[in-house]
Amino acid sequence: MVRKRAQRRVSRAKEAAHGNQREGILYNAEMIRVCMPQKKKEIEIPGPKRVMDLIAETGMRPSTVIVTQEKKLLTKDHRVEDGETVNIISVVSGG
Amino acid sequence: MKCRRCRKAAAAIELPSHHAAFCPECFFVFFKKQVREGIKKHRLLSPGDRVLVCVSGGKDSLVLWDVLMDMGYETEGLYIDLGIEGYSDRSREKVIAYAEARGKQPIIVELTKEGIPIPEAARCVRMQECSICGTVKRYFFNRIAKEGRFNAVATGHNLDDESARLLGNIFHWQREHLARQHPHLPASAEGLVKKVKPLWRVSELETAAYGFLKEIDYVIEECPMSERATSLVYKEVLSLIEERMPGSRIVFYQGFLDKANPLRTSEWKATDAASAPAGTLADDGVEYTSDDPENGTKGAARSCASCGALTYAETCAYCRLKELVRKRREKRAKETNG
Repeated sequence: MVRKRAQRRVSRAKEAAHGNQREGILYNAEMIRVCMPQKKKEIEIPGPKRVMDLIAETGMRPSTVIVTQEKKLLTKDHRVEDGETVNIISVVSGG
Repeated sequence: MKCRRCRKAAAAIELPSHHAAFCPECFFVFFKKQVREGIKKHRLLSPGDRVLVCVSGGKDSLVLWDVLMDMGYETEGLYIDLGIEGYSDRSREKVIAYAEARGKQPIIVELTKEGIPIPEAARCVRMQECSICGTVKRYFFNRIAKEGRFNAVATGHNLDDESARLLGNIFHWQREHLARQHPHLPASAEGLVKKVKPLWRVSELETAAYGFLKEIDYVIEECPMSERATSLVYKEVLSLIEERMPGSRIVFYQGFLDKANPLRTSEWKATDAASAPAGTLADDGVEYTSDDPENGTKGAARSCASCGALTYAETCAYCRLKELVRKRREKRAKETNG
């Protein structure tokens, strides 16, 4: 029990240290905001980063997603700057 | 990155499998050319065909409808409301909104009104939702096509769907399913309307990109019933291969159509139709029932005693399923009340 509490404290401390990369909650204008509508998830990643690197950070396969910004479709080598928002949309349908 | 076709505008999409990158305008040209070639290669449609496009509200079916309309085919959309809480309402809204924007009125079948909403039916008969969905959908595709005098039923299956299905069929050596896997299932003498898959040459990514760039508002969430679909596993495997070796997917599927096509005419078809067990599931969730005229070649086809649809049994698979659901529903109601 005590050990579990200690582990929880450590993980909370780690999360605080990487607070900016945690899901949602804090939106820092100095970061890239990545929205994944199907997963109902939003994360912030420090920029600048290429689209392919953003996809890699989310753990998704590049051939299974399109990356959009407003009405634009972004190529994998497109460079995204801090303060910008992109959507990563999965194209895989099941059934 | 510049567009490889016009060499002027910035590229919006890169396609390693085609060694190409396109701006939106050139991508539309490329995409339509791929669909046109797919239609031409296997003679899926003729210019005068009346096409019933089966739309679910997802990207593939709405893109298919959009492309076929742009190509000048006479089309109508068929939407089957599966009765899945929330998801069906949202997808229905997308279909209606898209159809209205193109001056169309979709044909809508409500399974709740038909007495066979998919989630409840699956619970009642203790079968997989996808299996029931396949039986019910095929029934209405045929029925509506026949009633509306359509020459063809078109579905939005793309290259990823078909190659994943092929891998699954090979994995389990489903020779009967392999024999029937083709983007063109011709009309039968007994009265089944031909079924075509005009998007068989384009990938899921290409379809999604086309839908996005054309501002087609499709439902991005997946059917909640398909979360554990085995086709997703095959898709994942093929995506990995495609990323390492771009173009593998089309080589795999087109190679099957071109080289392995003798399966369609070989004695396998006859022997398998006779030996395949009734009620087994295909990897795409479609139930194989030996009395289904689309699935087997067993005996002589006749009209269903209940609805008149084509069947090899006394009543068709759909009517039997509906009757079973009704009985189980009544039994459950009695148990609850009693």
